[in-house]
Amino acid sequence: MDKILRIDMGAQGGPAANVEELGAYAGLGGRGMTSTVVAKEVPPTCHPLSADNKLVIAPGLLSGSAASMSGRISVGCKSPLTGGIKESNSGGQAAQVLARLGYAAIILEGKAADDTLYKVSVNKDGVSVTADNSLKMLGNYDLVDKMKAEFGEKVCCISVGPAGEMKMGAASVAITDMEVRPTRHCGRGGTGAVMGSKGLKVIVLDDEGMSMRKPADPDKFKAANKAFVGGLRKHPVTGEGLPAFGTNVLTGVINEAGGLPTHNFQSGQFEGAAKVSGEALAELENTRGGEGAATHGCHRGCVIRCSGTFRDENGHFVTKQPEYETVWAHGPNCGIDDLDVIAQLDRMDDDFGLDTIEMGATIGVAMEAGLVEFGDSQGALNLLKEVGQGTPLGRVLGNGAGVTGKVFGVERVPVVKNQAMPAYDPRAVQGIGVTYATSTMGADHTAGYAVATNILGVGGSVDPLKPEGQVELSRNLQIATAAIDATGMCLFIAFAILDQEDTFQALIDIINGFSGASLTADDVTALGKTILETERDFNARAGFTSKDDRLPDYFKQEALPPHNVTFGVEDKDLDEVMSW
Amino acid sequence: MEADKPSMRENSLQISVESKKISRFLSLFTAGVSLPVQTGTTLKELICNQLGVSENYFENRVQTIFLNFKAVDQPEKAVVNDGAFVTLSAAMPGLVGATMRKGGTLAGFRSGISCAEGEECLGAARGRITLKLLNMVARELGPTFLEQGVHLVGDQLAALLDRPDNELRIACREIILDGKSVSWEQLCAERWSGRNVLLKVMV
Repeated sequence: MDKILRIDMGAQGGPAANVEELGAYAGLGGRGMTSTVVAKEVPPTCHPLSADNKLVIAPGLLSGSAASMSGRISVGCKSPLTGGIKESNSGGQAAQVLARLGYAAIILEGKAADDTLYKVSVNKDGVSVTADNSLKMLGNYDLVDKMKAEFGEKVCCISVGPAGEMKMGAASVAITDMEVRPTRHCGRGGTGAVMGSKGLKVIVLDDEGMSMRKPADPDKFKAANKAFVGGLRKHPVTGEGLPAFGTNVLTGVINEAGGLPTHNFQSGQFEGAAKVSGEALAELENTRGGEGAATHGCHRGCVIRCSGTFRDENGHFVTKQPEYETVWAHGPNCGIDDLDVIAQLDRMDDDFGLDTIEMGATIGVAMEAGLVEFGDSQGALNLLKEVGQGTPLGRVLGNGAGVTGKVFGVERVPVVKNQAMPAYDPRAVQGIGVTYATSTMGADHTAGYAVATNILGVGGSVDPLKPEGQVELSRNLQIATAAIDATGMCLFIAFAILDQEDTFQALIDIINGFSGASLTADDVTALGKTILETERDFNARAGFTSKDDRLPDYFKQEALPPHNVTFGVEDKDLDEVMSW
Repeated sequence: MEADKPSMRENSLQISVESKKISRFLSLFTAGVSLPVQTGTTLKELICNQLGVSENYFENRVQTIFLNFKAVDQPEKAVVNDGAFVTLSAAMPGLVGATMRKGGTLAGFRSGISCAEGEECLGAARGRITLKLLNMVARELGPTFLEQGVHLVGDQLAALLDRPDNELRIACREIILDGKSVSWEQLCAERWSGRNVLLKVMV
């Protein structure tokens, strides 16, 4: 990846695409690239939908190579939802394809002069930017079908649905999967609204004629990749649990723990949890789609295969296997215990281009406001339809839980930095609450993942049972996650890495074998710290202070059944998380 | 939070099924089945000595344990009293999943919902627990428990039979209810609400 594609959507005479050298951005990938570019080039106080904001799309450092699990793509900007820096991450094919085309990043800047809608095509012969108003307000599924008809069946699409065109705060950027369906999303933080605000509907990528990126030390790389894959396959989480049940394997466990937010975070257990569990979902998918339907990878090179395929009772494709976060958001959080309904809502989110977490949390707030009852499946479907149609109510809902709560006078709105909390109640798992509060991204469950204890000393030097211990854990985990996000690796490698020292070493060896570098674990840590420092600095310049690193007050006051716990980490401890 | 006590009358149901279809019954363990056990003992003793799960399996495969909805770090110390809910699971993904692991480094993240050491033992007695088995543990241990027999309330069985599943119907070789052979249709036609059932499923 030796070049950057910069597209000025507001250039004189129409959008202009230029290919430039990496320059100061050499050696960066994924979140490292997006956060560095945003911090350097986007005025922190700009309006997120203005020409001054930029949308940065970056594969990881290892993407496009034969490294297993390296297909994650990062999309960064100033977030219209949080007002701070945003890196939103997704699977799908785009990272592999963009990297093989040689691009370390696509930077979208400016905005179209009028309401003309554009499409971009990138292949080995170059780049074209074309006006195409026939794409206006198409759902992602119809859009992708049109692009396949125009550009070929094996392309990859990065697109926005109607939600992005309407610049909604919950709008996602969709990425097509191996079957060229728009099922993977950079969901969090409204990145789709930024893309839509620039007048860009879709980027079509075609790497035909391009080859896999070659490692600097092929023998070392191959051996390390083999060891890495072996480690992933033998680990019970990555080799068994995730392929069999997907991420929704968590529903049963989190419900048992009393940490499954139910009815807009009113309690921590859901009566219908068994009906929407990972076990139930896998059984349903395998019954309808045949054995193996519940096991599927989102990008080539994935050996974990935590996704699956959801079909209706007649065997027709509905959507990819809903993730745990989606099942929770549209299920227990809204009192819905019907997997077919949840799958329909997931399909609509994908088609309209919406973050499933934000939309589920928003519908939960809408239910608390009394717009529909908790458990009203048809009511939830109707509300989501309004978002896709852009009705006045739909536009309110499509801008997220915070806006919806404000419009309808709801106090109990589960957001941090205006981004909705994911599927773990912070009162039951206080450590995740520390991460929700202090992450540069707003309430985010992926910001603080686990890596080898011996590398980071994840246990730290402080008693982990004390609040300050949780603070140190959260800090170390956020550092580790930022580093992994820069490589393009799927975060789920973290479980094998946590348990198996040789698997973590294999990852370091892959990075070194590919790049020719001699990185150590300390270097990986330093990378993560640098990324977080960059993001914190941007947020500070955007006006964020420590008061934004807090959970809503009601989490400290309202006891969560069944354990009747409140969030007890003090503000002074939260302020220590990013101190190093 | 007490497990249901059986009424005096309990129906006995035995189903012989093709081995590949036993997975259809594993959903019973997600909601939980009732088992008669000697209570007032440690969780490890209960699972390994009484219920026959090997120590090696318990140590290495069962990585997430809940006792009365609290995460357990030391099963050799956690005490199981009459009416307890016991949940066994494999290792979980995600930061929070890793947080729930028994004795895990991240246990501090959920200290507020962890099983406290030295919970009061209410005395050794014959009693009942509700056992839940999740994900890989359900697949691996469930068939053995089904073969030995599990106690259900009638609504659980009704929910299982209510799901349209022609393949399961075909896969059932023999159904014996209270000592009499019945058809699948007869089984489904029974009114199960309010009844208790001892279910055995054999391959």
